[in-house]
Amino acid sequence: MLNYLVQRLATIVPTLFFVSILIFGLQQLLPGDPAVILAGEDRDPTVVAHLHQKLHLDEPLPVRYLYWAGGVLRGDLGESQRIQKPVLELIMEKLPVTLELALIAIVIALSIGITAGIVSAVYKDSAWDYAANVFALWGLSTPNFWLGIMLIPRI
Amino acid sequence: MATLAADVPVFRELTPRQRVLRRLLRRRGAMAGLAVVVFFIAVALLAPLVAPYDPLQTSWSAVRKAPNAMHAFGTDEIGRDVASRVIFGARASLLAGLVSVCISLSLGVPIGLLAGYVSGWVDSLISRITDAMLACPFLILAIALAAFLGPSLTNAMIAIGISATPIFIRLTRAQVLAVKVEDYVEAARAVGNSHLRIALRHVLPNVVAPLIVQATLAIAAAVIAEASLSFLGLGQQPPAPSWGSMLNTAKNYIDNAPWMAVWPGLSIFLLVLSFNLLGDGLRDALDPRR
Amino acid sequence: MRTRSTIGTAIAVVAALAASAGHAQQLRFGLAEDPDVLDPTLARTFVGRVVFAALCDKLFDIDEKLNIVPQLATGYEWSADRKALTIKLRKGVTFHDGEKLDAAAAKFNNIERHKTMAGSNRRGELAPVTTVDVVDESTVKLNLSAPFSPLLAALADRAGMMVSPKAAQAEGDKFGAKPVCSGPFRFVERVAQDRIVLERYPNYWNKGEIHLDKITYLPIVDSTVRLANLRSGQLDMIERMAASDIPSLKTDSRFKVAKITEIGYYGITINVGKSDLSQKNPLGKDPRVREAFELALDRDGIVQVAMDGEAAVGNQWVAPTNPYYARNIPIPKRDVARAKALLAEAGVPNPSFTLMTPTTSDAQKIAQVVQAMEKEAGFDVKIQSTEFATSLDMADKGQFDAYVLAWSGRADPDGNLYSFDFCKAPLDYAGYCKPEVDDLLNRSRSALDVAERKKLYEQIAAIVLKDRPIVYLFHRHWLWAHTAKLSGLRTIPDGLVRVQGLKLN
Repeated sequence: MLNYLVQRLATIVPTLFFVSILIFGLQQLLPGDPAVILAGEDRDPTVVAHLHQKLHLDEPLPVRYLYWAGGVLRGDLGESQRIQKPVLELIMEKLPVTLELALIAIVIALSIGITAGIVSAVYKDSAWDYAANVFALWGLSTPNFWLGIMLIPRI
Repeated sequence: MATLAADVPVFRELTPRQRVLRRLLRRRGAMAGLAVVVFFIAVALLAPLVAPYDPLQTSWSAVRKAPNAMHAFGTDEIGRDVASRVIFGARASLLAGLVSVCISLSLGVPIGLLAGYVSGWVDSLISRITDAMLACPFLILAIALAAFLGPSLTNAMIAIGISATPIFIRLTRAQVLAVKVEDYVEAARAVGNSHLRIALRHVLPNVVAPLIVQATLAIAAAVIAEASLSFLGLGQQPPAPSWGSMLNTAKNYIDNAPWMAVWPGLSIFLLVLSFNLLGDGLRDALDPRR
Repeated sequence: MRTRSTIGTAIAVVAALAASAGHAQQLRFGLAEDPDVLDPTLARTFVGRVVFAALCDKLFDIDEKLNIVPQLATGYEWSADRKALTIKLRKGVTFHDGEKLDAAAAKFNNIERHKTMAGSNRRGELAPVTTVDVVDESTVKLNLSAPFSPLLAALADRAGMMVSPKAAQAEGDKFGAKPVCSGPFRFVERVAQDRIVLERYPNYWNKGEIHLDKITYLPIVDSTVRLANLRSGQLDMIERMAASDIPSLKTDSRFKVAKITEIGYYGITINVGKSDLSQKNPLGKDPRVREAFELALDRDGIVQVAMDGEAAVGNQWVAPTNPYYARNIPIPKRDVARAKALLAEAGVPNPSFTLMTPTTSDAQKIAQVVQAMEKEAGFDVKIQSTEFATSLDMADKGQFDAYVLAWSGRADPDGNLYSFDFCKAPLDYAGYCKPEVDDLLNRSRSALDVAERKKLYEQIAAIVLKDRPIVYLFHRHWLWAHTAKLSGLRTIPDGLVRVQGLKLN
């Protein structure tokens, strides 16, 4: 059992490594020069050059990965270049609200979901089963951005 | 599939395939889903015949007109007929759904087959990368890839296809692991078949059923993904219509021209719902325990 | 996930309702974007300037007619050789930390900080300023390397904002997290992408004009959501409302709409020399094709359809109402027959080119309307909508034929022209390069007299508007909507809301 646990845990390391490559890679994939965007409407060449240097944008990709991964390992997620605040601080600002929302949502979702699931299993092929299925499929099939749009004027 | 019949005990009057078909035909939901899918495919194919107007024809004098006798679904922000654009938009959505899932299948199944059949370090490597990709939300991955490839319908399909691949890798691998210890695979090996032959002729046909189900559900997800990418301007390019890009424009007029949002949204909903119904029906019909 | 986000919205709405009770003189202002860093030296966005208008006073300001008016300065004087600007500072002004604004503080702001700080965005605007002399406690003299008429307009914007030297020295490049200026409101808190809260500064030099106690800026990107929040009473004012929403709001007596024509413009930049691509395309190669392109445009039609009529048509870098508008080149009338004739003359009756457009809804609408209009003259326009960052990148590399681009505008016409048409300037995406235009542009910068500058701009217009590196389309209206309880809103063409005089009844 312990052996199995250790084995499972050992696979986490390479997985996390690939996840880090993926996350870093996705940022690099995004087109456009971040310095040019950050430099604002005027795009003053000296500002662009300064940002390039500050963000290590001229260094080779592996070096930039090490800068980034090193920072992440030390708990430094970098600094928002837009408002010059540490990213970690920005995340912490939002975390309580996110947790609260997620928690309440999970409680509601689980209580409705489990009840509906049990009811539809016990009374299989009843109207209740039918309704639960329709509701579930409706939820799966509605593009949420569309639902969002349709609800806006009704705020 | 021909070898399949020989490996499974045969009932007197029905082949397994016939039984699956019969079970599927009895499921009303799946049949309704199939009917709607066929309907949308027909509409997409016959778009030039059924659309009342050219979907690109602008009219400065008929900007954002509510549904009326001339324009059943109303007109959009530059005076184009919404009904015609919804009809032509079906092409982008269906194409995106089908092509991207074909991409996922053609990448995911061989890789999953390899991982499951070969095992060892190859399996470990593939599995870890798959885990890493699955840790990243599907849509985020697709958005990043589409942004990298550049906005176009083709690139959106590629991005969606690649992003959906890990699910197929994992599914195929798990099925292969279960199947490869079966007696008939052992037997094929004992007879001296090559690995490639065993993998393709004996393993693959027996993992197809769950793949079909997953593919159908993946089409539904891909249709929504295409709409999302087009909604963000990363899919179908203007002026060509797509339901997602129509919604993107419509959101600016939701207060004074809601019809611009209702129809494309409803179409996405219907098509996705149909694929989901069909997938559910297939899952039940293909379930060997029934 | 779906259920989660719906419930999330519901809870957020309830929370917002609970929070909005009370406070009669609190203004809740919905912004179209989240501002960037609140440091006048580093700041680079338009929306940041909206917040600065309440937070940081400037040496000068501009009024409804784009005149330069005093703010922290009480007067100025150019030297005879036009290479020195002497500025008299207002007495008795203090920063939010109680420090005094004097000549030494002004010197610090203009040279030591704006010109030397790494990453400063103000360096270009103050490029000709070499040194600053403290003449006496309330007088500074800016020494210039060459005469530079746009300087006053720069000092009426972020380059002229005064920050507390004490706070700035202590905080360095972190100053923007807790800015200390001398404006009517002082910084309280900021939650990124959620709100910026300012409260009234009791020792403001012009406090008689300040009636609000508190201003909360709330960035809400979607214009429909912004409007919905105004309607439901979560906001008192919104900026950049969608033109299409005006009719429905006008019938509602609880709200008012205010507007003014912007100092910026919307235009189509044409690659005339940025890369080899310009010579491969008839549009970039042949001025006659560009003339035909402009003649096929119906600017009124574009404004009606793409902007719901909420813009002023124009054919220059400044609006026709601007004092520097070159009257010798009026807006050309649409003439499809003449456009066709020009194309025939150029030997390309059906030229084809790609029109790159950012994915914003305005730009996409403009592109599609232009495409339809140009078709009538024989042009085959292909639209390539490209995410903004990528489109800039491609424009910079010259990988485009034509590009729909907006410019937020500057109070001085130089800010709308020089950087775009001077050879190899940072915003010269067209790749326009003409020594005689460069010479005229430089002369327009050193001329201080309005009549003299006007004459120079007419000469520039006569050349540039025939070469057409940029085909200007129109100037948008700044649109604000606010509760009828709000009074005292001034509409200034720079689109920034002056908080002086604002009152909630």
